[in-house]
Amino acid sequence: MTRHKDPQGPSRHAPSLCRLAGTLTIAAAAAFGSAPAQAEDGLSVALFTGTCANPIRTTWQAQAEYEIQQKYADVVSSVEWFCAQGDVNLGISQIKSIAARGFDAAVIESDWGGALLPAIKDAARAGVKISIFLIPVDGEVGKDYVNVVLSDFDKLGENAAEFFIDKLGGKGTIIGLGGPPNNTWDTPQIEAMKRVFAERAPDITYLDTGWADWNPASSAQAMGTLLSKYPEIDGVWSMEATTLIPVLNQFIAHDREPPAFYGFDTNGLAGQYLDLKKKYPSLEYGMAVSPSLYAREAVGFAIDAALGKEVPAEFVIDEKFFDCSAVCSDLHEPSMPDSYIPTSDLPLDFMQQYLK
Amino acid sequence: MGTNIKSGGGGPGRFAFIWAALAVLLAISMAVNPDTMRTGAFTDLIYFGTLLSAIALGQHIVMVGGGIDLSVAAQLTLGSLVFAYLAQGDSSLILAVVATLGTCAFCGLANGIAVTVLRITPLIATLGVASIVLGVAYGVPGAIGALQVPAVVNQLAVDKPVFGMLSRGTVATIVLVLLLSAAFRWFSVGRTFTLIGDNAQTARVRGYRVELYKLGSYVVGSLIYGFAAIWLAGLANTPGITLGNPYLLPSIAAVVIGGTALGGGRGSVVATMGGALFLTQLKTLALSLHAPIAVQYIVEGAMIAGGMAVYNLNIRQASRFYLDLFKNNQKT
Repeated sequence: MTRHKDPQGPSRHAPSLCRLAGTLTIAAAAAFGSAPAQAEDGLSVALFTGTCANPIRTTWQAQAEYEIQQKYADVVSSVEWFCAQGDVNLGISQIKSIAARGFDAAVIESDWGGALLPAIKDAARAGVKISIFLIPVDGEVGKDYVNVVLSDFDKLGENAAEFFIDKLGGKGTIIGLGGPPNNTWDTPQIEAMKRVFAERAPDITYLDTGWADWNPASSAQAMGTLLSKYPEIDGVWSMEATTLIPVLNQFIAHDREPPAFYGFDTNGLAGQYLDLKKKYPSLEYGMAVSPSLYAREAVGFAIDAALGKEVPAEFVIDEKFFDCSAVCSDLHEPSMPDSYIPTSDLPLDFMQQYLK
Repeated sequence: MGTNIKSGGGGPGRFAFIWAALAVLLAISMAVNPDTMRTGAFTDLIYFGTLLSAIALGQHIVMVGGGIDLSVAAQLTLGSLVFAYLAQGDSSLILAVVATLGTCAFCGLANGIAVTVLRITPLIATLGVASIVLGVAYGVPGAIGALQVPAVVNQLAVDKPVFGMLSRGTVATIVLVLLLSAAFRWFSVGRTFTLIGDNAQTARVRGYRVELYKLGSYVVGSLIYGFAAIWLAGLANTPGITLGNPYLLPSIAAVVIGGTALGGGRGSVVATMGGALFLTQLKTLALSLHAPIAVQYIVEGAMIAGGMAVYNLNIRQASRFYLDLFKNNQKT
C-alpha cells in the first residue's frame, strides 16, 4: 500500500526545521548506523529536488506520486520527498541520508549538476536505483545511476522559433528574458532559436536578452530598458511564466501594444492571456508544455530498475507547444490556482491538494 | 562632545555629493547611450528608482539608528505573499494592507527585540530573523507561485496617473521622503533619534531611552518595507518566494552612497533617494550597453567603496597629516 507524506512536504512548511532534520538524520546515521526506510512488504522511494520554490517542482512531486499511485501502488510501500532549498550542502546531506536509510529507488533533480555526483555515487554503491532528471550530473550511466531523463533544449528553442515565424509571418524582432546571465537553461534554447531564424526566417532578428534572474520585478525593469533601446519589438520569449505579465504590462506602460509572447504554461498566464486578448485581439501566446512529465518518467524508471527490469540509459522528453489562441479557452481552469500547469495531465482534485 | 545632532537633517555638502554624481551619470548616459534618457526610460528611472527608494528608506531609518537590516529581502517576500494571499477578493483589500503592514511591523519588532533586549549584533540578529521570516513565507498558502494579486491592485501599482509619469507608489514615496526629512530636521523625535545613532552613550547619559528608540527604528523601517512589499506585489502580479531577493544589497548601497554613516547618526533621506535613483540608472546603463554582469557588479561595488571613501575622507585632516610628515622629514 502506498503511504504518502504530507503533499506540501515538511521542507516547504519549515525549511529550517527540514535542514535541522536532515543534519540530525545524517548525524544519527553516522553515529548509529543506517536505519532502513523500506517497509517489509515493498519498495521505498525517495524524490529529490534541489529547490522547491516554484510550481514546476510542486507539479513534479504531484506527477511522481500520481505515477506511483496509479502504476506501482502494489509494490511501493513508502514515498518520501526531499527538497534541498537551494542549498547544495543540504542536498549532499539529503542524498547521503537516502543512501544511509536504505531507500530502494530515488529520482534526483540536481540544480548543481556534478556537485552532487559523489553523493549520488555513494547512494548507487549502497544499492539505491537512481534516475536523474532535467540536469545531467556527469558520471556513468549504468554504474552511478540507472538512467537519465533530459530536456531537449534544441527542440524547446526550435518550437519557440517555429511559433514566432508563424505568428510574425517570417519578419520581425524578438527579445528574450532570462534567469542568471548565460545560464545553462536559457542559453541553449536561445541559440537554437537563433539558428532556426537564420536558416528559415532571416528577416526575424533576435535582438537581445535581458538577464533578470527569473524575477518578475527585475524582468519588468529590464524590459523597460529594452523598450527604450529598441523601438520595434514584435515578440518576447521567456521560459519563466511569472515574468511575462509584468513584462507585457511594461509594453502597455510604454504605450506600445503587447507583442506575441512565448513561454511555459501556467493557469494564471492562460487566464491573463484570455483577458488581454479581449483588449488586444491580435495578441498571441505560444504555450510551451512545461517539463512536468520528467518526474513521472523518472520515478517509473527508478522503480522498474529496483524491480530488476531493464530501463533505457537515456530518455529525452518530446518537447511540445500549443497555440494558446486555439486551446486556452479549454485548457484554462478558473477553479484552479494560477500556478496550476494546464498541460500536466493530472486529475484536478488530485492536483488541487498540491497547490493549496 | 562629538555629537552633531544637526547632521541628521542632511548637511548640504555631504549629502549633495550623490546628486552631483547622479547628474554626472545622467550626462554620461546621454552621451554614451541616449536611448536610456528617452521619455519612457526616464519614467522607468523614476518608477523603479522610487521603488528602490521606498525599500532603502526603511533601511535608512535602521542604519541612522546604528543598526543594519539584513532581513529586508525576506520581509519584502513575506509581505508581498501575505498581501497577495489576503487580497484575493477586492473587498478584503484594506484587510490585506493592514495585515501586510502588521506582519512586517512584527518582523521589525522581532529584529528590534533581538538587537536591544537579547543584545545580539544587528548583523546576526537580522540574519537570523531573515531565515525565520523566509521559513514563515514558505508556509503562506500558495507561496510557490500560486498567488496572483487582483487586477485592480496590478493596475494601481503599474499606472502612472500623475502627469503621466508618476505612479501612486512614486508619489507616496516622495511624500514619505518629505515627511521623514521634516521629522529628522525639525522634530525632537527625529533629532533625538539621530543623536542616539551618532552617540548612544551620550544619549543614554542624557536620559534618553536609547533601546526604545532603536527598537522603534526597526519597527518603523519594517512598516516602510510593508508598503514597498504591497507595491512590489502589485508590480510583480504573481509574487513568489524569491521576489525580495534582488533588493538586499541595493537597499544598503543606496543608503551608503547617499552619505549615511554605516555607524549610524548621520544621514539624509533625500540623499538616500538620490542613491536609489543613481543605482537604478547605473543598472539601466549597464544593461543597455550589454555590459557583462561581472562588470555591473564590479562597478556597483566600486561605487559603494568609492562613495564611502569620499565621505570618510577628511581632506583638511589628511592634508595636515601629510604636511606635518613632510615638515618632519625636512627637519631630520
